[in-house]
Amino acid sequence: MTMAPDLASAAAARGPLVMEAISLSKDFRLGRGHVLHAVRDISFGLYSGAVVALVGESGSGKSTAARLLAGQERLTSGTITLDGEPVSVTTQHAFRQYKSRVQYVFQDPFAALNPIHTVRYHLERPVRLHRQGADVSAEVRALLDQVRLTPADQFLAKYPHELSGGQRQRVSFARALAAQPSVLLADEPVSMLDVSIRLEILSLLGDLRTRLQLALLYITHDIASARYFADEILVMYAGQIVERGPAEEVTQQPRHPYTQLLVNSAPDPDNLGSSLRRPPANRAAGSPPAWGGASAAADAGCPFSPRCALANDHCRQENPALTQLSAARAAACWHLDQSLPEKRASP
Amino acid sequence: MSAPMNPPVTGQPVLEISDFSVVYRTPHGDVRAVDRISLALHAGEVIGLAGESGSGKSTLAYGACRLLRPPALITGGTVRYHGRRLAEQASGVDVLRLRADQLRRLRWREIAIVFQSAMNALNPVLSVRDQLTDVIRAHLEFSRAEADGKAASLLDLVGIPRARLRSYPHELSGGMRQRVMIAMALATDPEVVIMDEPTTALDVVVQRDILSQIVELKEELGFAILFITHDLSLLLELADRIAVMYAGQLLESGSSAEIQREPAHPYTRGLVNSFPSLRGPRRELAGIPGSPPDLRNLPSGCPFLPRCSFGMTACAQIDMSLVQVTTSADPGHVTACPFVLPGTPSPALPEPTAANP
Amino acid sequence: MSSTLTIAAQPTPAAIEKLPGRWRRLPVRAKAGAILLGVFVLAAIIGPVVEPYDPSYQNPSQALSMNPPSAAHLLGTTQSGQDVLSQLLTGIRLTLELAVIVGVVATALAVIVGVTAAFLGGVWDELLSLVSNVFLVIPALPLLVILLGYLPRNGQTPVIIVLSVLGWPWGARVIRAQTLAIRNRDFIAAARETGEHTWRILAFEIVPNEVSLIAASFVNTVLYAIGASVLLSFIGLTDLNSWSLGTMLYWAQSQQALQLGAWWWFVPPGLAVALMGTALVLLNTGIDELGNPRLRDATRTSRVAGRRIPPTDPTPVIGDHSQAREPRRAYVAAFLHSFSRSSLLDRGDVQR
Repeated sequence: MTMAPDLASAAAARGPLVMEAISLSKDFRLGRGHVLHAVRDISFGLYSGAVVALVGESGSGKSTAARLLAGQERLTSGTITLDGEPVSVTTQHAFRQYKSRVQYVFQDPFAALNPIHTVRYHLERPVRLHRQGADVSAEVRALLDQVRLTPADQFLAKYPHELSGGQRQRVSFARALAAQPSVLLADEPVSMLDVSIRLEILSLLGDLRTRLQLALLYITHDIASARYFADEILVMYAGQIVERGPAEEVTQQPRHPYTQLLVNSAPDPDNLGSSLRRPPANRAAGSPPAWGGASAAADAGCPFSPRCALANDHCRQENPALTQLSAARAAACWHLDQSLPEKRASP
Repeated sequence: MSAPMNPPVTGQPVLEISDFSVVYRTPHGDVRAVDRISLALHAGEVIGLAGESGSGKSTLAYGACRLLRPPALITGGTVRYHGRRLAEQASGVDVLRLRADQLRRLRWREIAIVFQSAMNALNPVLSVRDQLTDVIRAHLEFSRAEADGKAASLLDLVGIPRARLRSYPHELSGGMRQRVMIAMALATDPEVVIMDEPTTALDVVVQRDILSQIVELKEELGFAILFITHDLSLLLELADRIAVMYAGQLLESGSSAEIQREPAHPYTRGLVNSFPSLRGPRRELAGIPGSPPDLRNLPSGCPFLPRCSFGMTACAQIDMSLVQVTTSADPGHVTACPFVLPGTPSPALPEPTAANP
Repeated sequence: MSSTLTIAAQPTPAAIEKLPGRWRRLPVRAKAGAILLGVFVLAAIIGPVVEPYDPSYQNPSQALSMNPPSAAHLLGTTQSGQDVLSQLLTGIRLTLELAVIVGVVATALAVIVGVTAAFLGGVWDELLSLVSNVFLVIPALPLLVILLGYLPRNGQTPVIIVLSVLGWPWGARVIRAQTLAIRNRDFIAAARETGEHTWRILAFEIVPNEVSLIAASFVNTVLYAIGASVLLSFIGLTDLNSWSLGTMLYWAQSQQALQLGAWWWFVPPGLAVALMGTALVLLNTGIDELGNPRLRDATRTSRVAGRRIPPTDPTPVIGDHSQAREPRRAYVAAFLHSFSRSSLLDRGDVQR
């Protein structure tokens, strides 16, 4: 499922292409001959100053895709290009050079910091490694300023357990920015933080993206935050991209049945006739229970077919490719003209 | 779009928590985890307990069942349970006065808990059947065969194929494990089910499925639900009434329809504003500046003052008693903020500063 | 039972002061072990200066052979008129010296092997694990005997070498397991993201997180070294001219001290070994609790309002609630009840 040749990206409007993933695949060998196809033939691009969101549930392969881009896992097949040049990281030295362009931020703010080292140590190391000759002390302070942890002196001597979740995540950002990367891969950066501070951290990320013209990959399971934060949304299911397009369009007019299911399932406070208040008399006929998750994906045919109400034999035998719907939109489904039946009572 | 018809809530509450306080005795001093909270749960009702880290919502629920360990101490209030099975006393059972063996009769049989992380709550070396029959036989006088039958019918109830009785927890998906937890909780037909973030680790599709199932079961079996979560947007859709907690205090309580229409407390407003919405126009969202409270270092008066955009000096003197929200259609809608009227536009937020990310 | 308990209306600033000093906060066991061990360390240090006689000096006078403790010889004399106290002091020093050196060498080896095997993984892990397992499986005592037979017998060096070579595998396995667990944590991946060299990650990110485990491994090895060296000396395999505690016991045994009732000859060295071992074990459990605060909380029972509350009781209620007393089961019934599964649900049955 390579990217359709004339499919543009909604994010391209923001800046030049920095990093491109072309037909990436990653297989994991589990015991007894089983192979897990974590990522199957995905392609997308990251543009300066733009946010591309990878949305999917756990097991969809979104984190694996990010780790492939970060160089933490080896590709099974496909190419990654950086500024047009294919990337091949074989030596430690090449890896360090790659790291000065592409940085990855972890999900769990507490686990990502070494409990025995101070904030100063965490920031000094990347500065020394990537910015030789710089004034380390001044650089470290500048980094703390950038992530709005001021006065810097107050934070430099602290240990991770003395900081709040939001502060720890800011330190993680600062550490990633110390290498002055062009690409930042943020794996669920706010899902382990308290709800009330999530937006502030996201707006900090947005700010950094604009000021430093970063190409940001935002990985999340929360499609609502992707609508708010990203320029382009790529919906992943069972290792494949099943829908892509501008964030607003994908969330307001989802075309793939899985995206529709995601959008319909998100909590909706405005839905006063919700099935969660008053259960329907009988379940919607023909809709199989949606439990099972990505692990129930079929091996042949469309991976979503076991859970899809529109699935027929064709779906189960042949995996649909991304069909272009408009200049920047595409979805992979044989039934794009039909829509998943609405699960909730109509207003 | 007609307003939802909540089941008429009449009569005695099944679980009544009044003026309840829990303190943690640490080497640093006493930490008030729960401060004089009152809550009433009626049969067939879903009460949502909303709050973030440090709010005390889990402490309240576990404390009411006396599941907390020292250094947690219950320092005040009453917890009365008025179940149908224990109806011999008109005034209900005072949970705080029970001995351990009496508590055992109350726990699980009358009040069941669905824990947050099913992977941690299920025994990894016991099969599903063993765990279910364990619970059944610990509380009911069932023979082995009867318990097996009951376990199978419980799995039917939550929509898991009977073949899974032989599976171990690690062989089940996250959604299925949570359903097993729910089956265990319902095994003895309790009157109150406390759910502590039951779907937080699951994705939205499975979450909606499981929650619909829970609501169906609630209608069928008639138990009350105390639903604890940080996801206020979910509670607005799911719960009949919502209680919002912050730093161990109750800041607002009322029907979810009213709280959704017009939240009274500035914290509730900020919280509602922290959830980006999928539907409707794309609004400018702000969240709440500052960081969650440090319970060891609470300011006097309202604990939300450091982060409140309406804050003023008088706030440091209030005693956090609840006042009725006069503009609300719900007579039971109360708030702890005596100053801010619902509908008052919030002043411009201060710039995010140094020590409060 | 009801007692008024004042809870501060708000935590006063004074209450959030520093915790009591670090010594007082250590678990009781660690303190006991440290103090006991300190006594022996002190004896080792000042022993040679303080000992009244040369331990090897054999007093030819018949009257002073096998004498019970007296003013001149505080712990009596041996068969050949040597002062037991002086031998004891020298013995403590030599034994501790040997044990500490073995501890340091073996622990260093264990750390290097364990951390490298776990971090590099793959073929290196297999190789190093194979080597450790081989050393673990070989029967230690016969190997020690054989090796000591080959090495020249002077001083303690052969024993040190032999014990170090056989003492590292256990620690290596434990440290390897811990490193495997740490290796998968996010902050190690983050250090790699930063571009750190592998050796720096091992030395500065992983090992500092294992300090309490390494300390416990060290104490364990010292314990093992004391026991093994005393054993080897006792069966006469080491240099019998150096006065370690084991050598004392060897001579005591060969001169029939037990049968002759000369308790002052074998009891002091035996007791010294036992007490040193006890001190080290206490220190070890203390280090465990220090490294893992959850262990401390799980075992500690809190005192509330003058009454001890075991951790598994239902949450205590303070105030003017009067707690009814538990029904007392007969001892036999309680004992049998403790085997049933339902007893796991309510540990608070029997009232203390």
